[in-house]
Amino acid sequence: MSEEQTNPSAAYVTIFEEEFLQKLPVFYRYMILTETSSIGEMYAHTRFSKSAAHFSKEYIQYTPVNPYSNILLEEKEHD
Amino acid sequence: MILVLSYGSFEQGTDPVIDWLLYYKADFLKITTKDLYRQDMDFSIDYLNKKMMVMGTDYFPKINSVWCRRFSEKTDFVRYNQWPYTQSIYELNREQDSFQDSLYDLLSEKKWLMNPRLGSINKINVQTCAHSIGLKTPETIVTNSREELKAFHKRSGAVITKPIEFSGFFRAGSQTFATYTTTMDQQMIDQLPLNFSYSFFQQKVDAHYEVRSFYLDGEFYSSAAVFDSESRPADIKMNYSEDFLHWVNYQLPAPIEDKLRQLMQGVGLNTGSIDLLRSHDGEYYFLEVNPGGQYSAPSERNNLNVEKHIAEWLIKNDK
Repeated sequence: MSEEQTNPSAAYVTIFEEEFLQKLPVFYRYMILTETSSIGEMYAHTRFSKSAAHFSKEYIQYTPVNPYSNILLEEKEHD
Repeated sequence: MILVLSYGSFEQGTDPVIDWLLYYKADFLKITTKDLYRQDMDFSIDYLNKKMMVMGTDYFPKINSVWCRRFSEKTDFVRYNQWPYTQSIYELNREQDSFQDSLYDLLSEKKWLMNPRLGSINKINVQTCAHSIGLKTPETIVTNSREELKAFHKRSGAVITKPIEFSGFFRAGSQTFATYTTTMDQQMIDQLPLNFSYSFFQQKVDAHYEVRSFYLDGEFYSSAAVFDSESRPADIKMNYSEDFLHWVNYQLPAPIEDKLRQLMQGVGLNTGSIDLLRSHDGEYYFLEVNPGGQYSAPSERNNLNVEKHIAEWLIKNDK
């Protein structure tokens, strides 16, 4: 991989030199550079725990932002 | 009993379903690809006598339903990045593929949520199948020629490029490079060499909004990603958290759902995340189906509770 090269057409970069790009599909010419910490799927600053119940050695206690309103209604119906 | 085959590292789509399995007090076992080579879980498979011993217990007769959720993680001995380690890791990964394939055959009589051999189903073939069923699909070519691409661009109006299969994140410390669906303008095409490695190009649909539909055994849980800005980006993954992207509950027309059901049955999938575009002139364009696609973002924002429905499917089929 070489130094990133800016594509003059847009805010695209590539991490590959032209000789290698020739061997790659075209989309590798149009990469986007992002701070790792801003990509949620990278879990860059996530502290994982473990959960035997989930058979997980990388567990996140996740709290949804939405209330489980419909679930509460269901429970009420069962009562 | 339910068998969950999943990822060893954190996987956002797995744990929410397990939360529901725990809530319902379902009997389940989770095995990950890392468990297979980590050597901290004793297991032994006896194929002819159909025994699946895990930590001294034969789970084969207990298992009724199997959820295959991204059971595809490869060995990650990253510090061994030189020959001969690279060759042995390549061979180890092939061993893993063969071993997993033998597991799929052993468990073939169980009720599977997602055919494990279709985890990387070919998108071009699925699109061709969708077209033959009568779903609208964008014009698509694979070419290695700039002149062919120019001609395609001319007759399509606008063109995007993306991987046929997959491209992930290229992490370089605090910075990460990634490829997304990219709109190719005339200048970008002109800058390409006369020939390049064969690449996927597709007509860019003049889309009003994008529809994400999670398919589960005949049912659809659909959301529309609506933008309040003038132009819709080619890849909404880059704008998930922007204020101008709104997820709204969506009902696909019955004829479109019928055709999508026909498509899913035709390609052998009982679950998957389906991507569609609705054009400004009211047409629905099928883009692709991801058998192990992520569903959390629309499910959470629109209270679709996809994870609950998956758990209930597994429990219902655990008999």
